[in-house]
Order: sequence, then structure tokens, then C-alpha cells
Amino acid sequence: MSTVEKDDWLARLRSTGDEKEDAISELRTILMRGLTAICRNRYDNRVQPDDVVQDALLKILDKLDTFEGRSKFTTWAMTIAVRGAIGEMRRRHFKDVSINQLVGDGMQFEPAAVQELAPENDETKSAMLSMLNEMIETKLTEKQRHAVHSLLHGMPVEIFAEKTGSNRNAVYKLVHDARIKLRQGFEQAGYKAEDVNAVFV
Amino acid sequence: MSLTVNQIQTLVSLIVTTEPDQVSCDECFGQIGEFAEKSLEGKELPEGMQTIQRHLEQCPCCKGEYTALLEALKEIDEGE
Repeated sequence: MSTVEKDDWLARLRSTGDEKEDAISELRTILMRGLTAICRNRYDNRVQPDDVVQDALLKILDKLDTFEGRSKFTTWAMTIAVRGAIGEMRRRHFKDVSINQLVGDGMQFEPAAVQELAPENDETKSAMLSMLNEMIETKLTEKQRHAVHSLLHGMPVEIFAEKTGSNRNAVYKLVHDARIKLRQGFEQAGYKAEDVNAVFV
Repeated sequence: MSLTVNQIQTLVSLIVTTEPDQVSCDECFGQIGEFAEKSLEGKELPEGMQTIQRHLEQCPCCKGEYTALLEALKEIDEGE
């Protein structure tokens, strides 16, 4: 990106009067084009570009001082708009879904799933599935079980974080730590990742 | 809600593909624009950006946003 391009956007958006209004209008057009593309066929089209473009513009104007010039200005602006739009889609999609509803009585496996993945006459598969079940109960905290369970039902970590009063970084780490614990559990029992994968996937 | 076959398989896949990840979602977001541009230009990633690649492989939430960002950037690029 040229310095002129960066400085031009910043200068115009920081100016006043017609120059600023023209820059905002131009930026809005660019954002609308990108947002229109991503709002199609995502989360049942619950969000339209018009719903989120104004909020995106306000955030961008508010964050102008944080733009470091590591990408084009329009790319930087689009990252803010896209994150906001996807976040709103996820929020609306999971608005009426509670964590308790997803988690229910615990992280159980459907009997039919157990039968399909580990038929009774297959001792290796049965042992691995039992081990996975046991590790979920004994190695993970309740919060980790809830976060992983919700994730498996399609709930993004940012929504889980909002519904539990946490934050996205913390929930991502919570889930990632849970994954590592389960992987280490398999390894300590002598199962390599590729063996586990070959059995179940 | 109990876990189905697909969900158990997804869980297993998440477990076996887990790698150390030093990047948070917010840190990923801070570099995702530059990462996306390099990706669209087909340029080799600078060494420091490998951590972003790894985070995207581990985090479905950030991966979803990154995929959408690529779509949006392609769209505005075609419109220029």
C-alpha cells in the first residue's frame, strides 16, 4: 500500500465537511459491496448489509488511530465490518438457544452413535470410545465440557462467551486446553493421533 | 442433547489435530488483514505469520470470519 493511499483515507476521514462526507460515502459503498457478498447464504440470511454497515462505519471511524498500515486501509476496514457482521449473524442465530438447552444432562453419546462407531464385537473401538467418554468426565472441568459440548452443537466460542459472561479469548483457550488434555490422555494410553483418527473418522 | 456420530467424529478430529497455539483470537484479528492480502496475492507468508495460519487451523470461529473476509475482499477487488 502506498503512503499516499493510507494518508489519503485517514486525512479525508479526519477532515470535516464535504471532504469527510464524500470519504464516508465512498467507504460505505465499498463496505456494502463486501458485506452484500458475505451476507448471502450465511445463517439463513438473517442479517442484511444495511443492518450492519452503519455500525461498522462508526467502529472504523472510532478506531482510525489504531490503523498501523500493515494492510490496505480498505482491507483493514473490511476486517472490522466482516467481524461485526458475522458476529451479528451468529448472535441472531443463537438468540433463543441457551447453554443449558444444548448441554442438557451432560456430554453423553447417543446410543445409536455408540453402536455405529463401536460395535460390541469390536473391542478396540469400544475401548477407545469408552476411554474418550471417561476422559471427558474425569479430565475436563464442567466449564470445559459445556464449552466443548456447545461448540459441537455449532455454537461459536464468541457466542458461548457472551452467554456465559466470559470473553472470546478466554473461551478459545478453555476449549483448546480441553483438546490438549484429551489428546494427551490418548497418547498416555499408547494411542497415537493417527490411530485414533483412523478408528473414528 | 447427546452427541451424534458426526459430532463425536468432529470431537475426535478436533482432538487429534490439536497443536500448540500461542495466538489469541484478538491477536489473530489484529493481523488477519495483512494475512488475507498475502494469501490473495499468493505470496509466501513471513515467518511471524505462520502463527496466524496455525491459529486459523485450530479456531473454527476465526476461520469462519477469515473465509468471509476473503470473499468480501475478492468482491471489492473485482469491483475496483
